[in-house]
Amino acid sequence: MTGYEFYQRVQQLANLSSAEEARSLTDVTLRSMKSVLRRQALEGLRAQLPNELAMQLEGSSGEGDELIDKEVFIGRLMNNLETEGHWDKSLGGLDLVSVSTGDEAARQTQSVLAAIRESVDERTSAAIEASLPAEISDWYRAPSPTR
Amino acid sequence: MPETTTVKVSTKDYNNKVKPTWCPGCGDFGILSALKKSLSDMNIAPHQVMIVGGIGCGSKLPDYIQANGYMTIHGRPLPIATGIKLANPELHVIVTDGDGDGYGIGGNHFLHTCRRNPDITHIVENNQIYALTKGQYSPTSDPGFVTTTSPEGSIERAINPIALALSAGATFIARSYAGDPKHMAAIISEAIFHPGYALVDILQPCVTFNKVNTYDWYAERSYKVEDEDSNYDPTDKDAAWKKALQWGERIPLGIIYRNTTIPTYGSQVPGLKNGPVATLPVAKLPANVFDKIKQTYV
Repeated sequence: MTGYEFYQRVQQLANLSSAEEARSLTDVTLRSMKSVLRRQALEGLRAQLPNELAMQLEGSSGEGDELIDKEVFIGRLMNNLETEGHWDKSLGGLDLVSVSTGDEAARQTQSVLAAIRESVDERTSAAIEASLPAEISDWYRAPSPTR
Repeated sequence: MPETTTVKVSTKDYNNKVKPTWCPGCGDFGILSALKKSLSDMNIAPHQVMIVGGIGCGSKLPDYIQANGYMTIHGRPLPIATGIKLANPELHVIVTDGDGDGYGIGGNHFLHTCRRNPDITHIVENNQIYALTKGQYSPTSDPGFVTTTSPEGSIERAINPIALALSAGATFIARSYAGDPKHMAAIISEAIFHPGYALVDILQPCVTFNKVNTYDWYAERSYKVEDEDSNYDPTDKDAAWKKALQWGERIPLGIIYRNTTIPTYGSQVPGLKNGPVATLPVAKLPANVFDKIKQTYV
């Protein structure tokens, strides 16, 4: 599978409007995974992803970080999503939509995880699942998301 | 340093039932995890900790951890924390506030706390914005930063808290990054262990209002001082100055400066030479003082 094909699969699973959006989502998720994956998962994933995706995993120590929870994991993606609505006509400032955007971040992250699960062998998949923070690991095991 | 407990403490002992109202993905979650890990690694029990917050997103941390907590008004946690430590030195006193609370409205207290050197730990959740009030530029926002109060970009230069602390006489100065909780936990432990005022400036992405200084932005620019130079000596003030002045494309993380030779504020206060207030037997108070306290509080 080429990188573009992988992005298209993510685009399909996440119901995104473009492969470019899917690329941004995938890259950001891989960079979050880089911080938590332990050596076996990291090496397996690097070997089985298309090269341009595997690059996002470079520079990791492979030690993982058990203190990274779901919130820190989705932080990178939240940085890229729409979190402000319109001007608040009552009190001033901006209306926030970051609470519901958290649900969207979860849904989009699940899509990338599903595409990864489809692309790797069972041994690597088990190693990935064991490395992920608890709730993210549940997302990894879940069936592919649908809107 | 105050005592720890002989009973094994785990991070679960610091969990409470209050669900944080931080935005999903907020860097404060990483800071909370790191603080719990640090306290449990040092075997400090929840009743031995007092966490003092100001006003802001990060200042809500005392609500979200099972420990003694005190929420003060905007910019004032440092003098309150100093008073708490003087009254009961057995408590591990930790201030958690943000860049607006700590370096803005609280800037004056910051300067004087640095030079007084009370034995407290100061964790600044530095997201370079006023987030709780919905996105205004703060003292650490970089020039040109566009916000609701700087629609054409901030025209102010940002303060440099590391350099400010160094010049004001702080005896422990460190920086970490909210995307690396393991590193944060190690730095916080060192800060708590330090006998004196310990500043930990934590680069903390605000996912809702700051789309410039993101997780990736910090990750691309920050480096650990010990990774770049295994011989880096944080007791060398000249070396610390060089690191303190670095910002922008290269941001050093780790213990920038440490000096354990300066006595703490509490060890020098003449009025406490008979012991701290918390351990003073009530019977030793002069009768008129005791009566006045009774009238005020009972």
